[in-house]
Amino acid sequence: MMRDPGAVPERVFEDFYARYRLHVLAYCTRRLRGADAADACSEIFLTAWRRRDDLPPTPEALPYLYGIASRVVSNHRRSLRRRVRLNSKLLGLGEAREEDPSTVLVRKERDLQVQAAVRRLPPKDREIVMLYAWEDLPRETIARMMGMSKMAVDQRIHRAYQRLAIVLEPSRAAPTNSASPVIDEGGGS
Amino acid sequence: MTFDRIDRMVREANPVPDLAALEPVDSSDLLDQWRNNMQVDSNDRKVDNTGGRRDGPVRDMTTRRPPQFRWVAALGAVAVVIVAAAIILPDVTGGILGGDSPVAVAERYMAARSALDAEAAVAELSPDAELADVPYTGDIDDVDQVFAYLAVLDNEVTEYACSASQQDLASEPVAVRCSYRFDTNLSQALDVEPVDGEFAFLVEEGKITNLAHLFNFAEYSPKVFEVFIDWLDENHPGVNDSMWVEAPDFSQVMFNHEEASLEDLERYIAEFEAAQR
Repeated sequence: MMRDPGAVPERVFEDFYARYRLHVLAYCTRRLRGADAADACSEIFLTAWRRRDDLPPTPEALPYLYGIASRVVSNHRRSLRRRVRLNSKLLGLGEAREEDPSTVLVRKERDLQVQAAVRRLPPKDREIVMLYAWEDLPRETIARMMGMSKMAVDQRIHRAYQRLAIVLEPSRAAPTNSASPVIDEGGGS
Repeated sequence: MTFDRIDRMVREANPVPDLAALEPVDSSDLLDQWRNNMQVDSNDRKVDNTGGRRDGPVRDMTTRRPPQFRWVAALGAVAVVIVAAAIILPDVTGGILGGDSPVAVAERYMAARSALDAEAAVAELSPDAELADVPYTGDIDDVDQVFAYLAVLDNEVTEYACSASQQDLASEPVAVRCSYRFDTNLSQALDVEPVDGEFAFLVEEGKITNLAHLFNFAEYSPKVFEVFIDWLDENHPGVNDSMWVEAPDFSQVMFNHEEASLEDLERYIAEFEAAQR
């Protein structure tokens, strides 16, 4: 940790920002739509700036930012629900779509189905699956971030994937894999 | 389905598979913004360090656009379109047309919508109709579940009246608009009066090819839906988190349409109604 209060000069934080901005924006874009994702990204770095004396060294910087991001995105979701957007949907009313050229979303039908299924997972399982499969974080890092054991992370991923299998192919059985553990080491794809 | 296959599917469905896809944002501009933000924040911190006194207003250093501005803009755009259509395209009443005219098609849809009769509604739709009355999928296959959901809300559209928005009915598609009065069990529980709304249809070869539901939810929602959402938060913590989901394309938050959630919603609405008495 950088312990010396006020010792992080703007230049250092600018480098920090430039280095991780896209990762954080991607994290937000995977969880919120374009304009909200940009808002959240801005808020995350503002929070990091305010706590700049506590910025961790490089290996832990991204998980640290994702930790802030998790709370910021969660707050955005709550405020989303309170905004007219949800209320229009309560009656299934249509809304003008907002296309944001700064984000590229995969719109293939199958991918949309998978994304929808992932979003319907229980909140903690959903976050773990997203960190693992979309942010491509190792399970050890996810375990540290979530304050749980690596085994618990493994179990949650496995349980979530079982659920996805049922949702995505209801006619088939839950995922089967004779190999155990079922998740490759390293968490990468 | 094997674990590896699911893992591959989830990874392939990553909405942002490549960080480079986000690069169109001009980094130099953003850095400038941050430089400014940091400067302002530094000044704030310095004031704080002098004993908590703030010599000036506390400023929001984020670059966020207030969400309500986006909504005002969106609603404004909808209003402009409606007004322009009303001015440019003189109405022709449906009564004159009758039969299988575009207006009659729209009226039959409205009757089905009012009765929440999904089968009758689908009969008026083109197989590839684009529907903005239903959630994001906007697909004819979703009508059943959407109507089931609307039935739980006891959503009524009454006093509807349809008219074509153009004189030349030979030129298809024909635009038809249907005004109506709108009510739900939630608004009744809260003693909120029904409000006016409008459906806009495009009708081609006797079928609806496009449907848009125009409704002033910005006025209605705070009086009704937000009250219900807050009540749910207060009385059933966590329910809102599971009952509403984001659309895969992030464009909306919507009801998850799961049968269990539908039953829960019915139960919660009944409870909400009782609590308002």
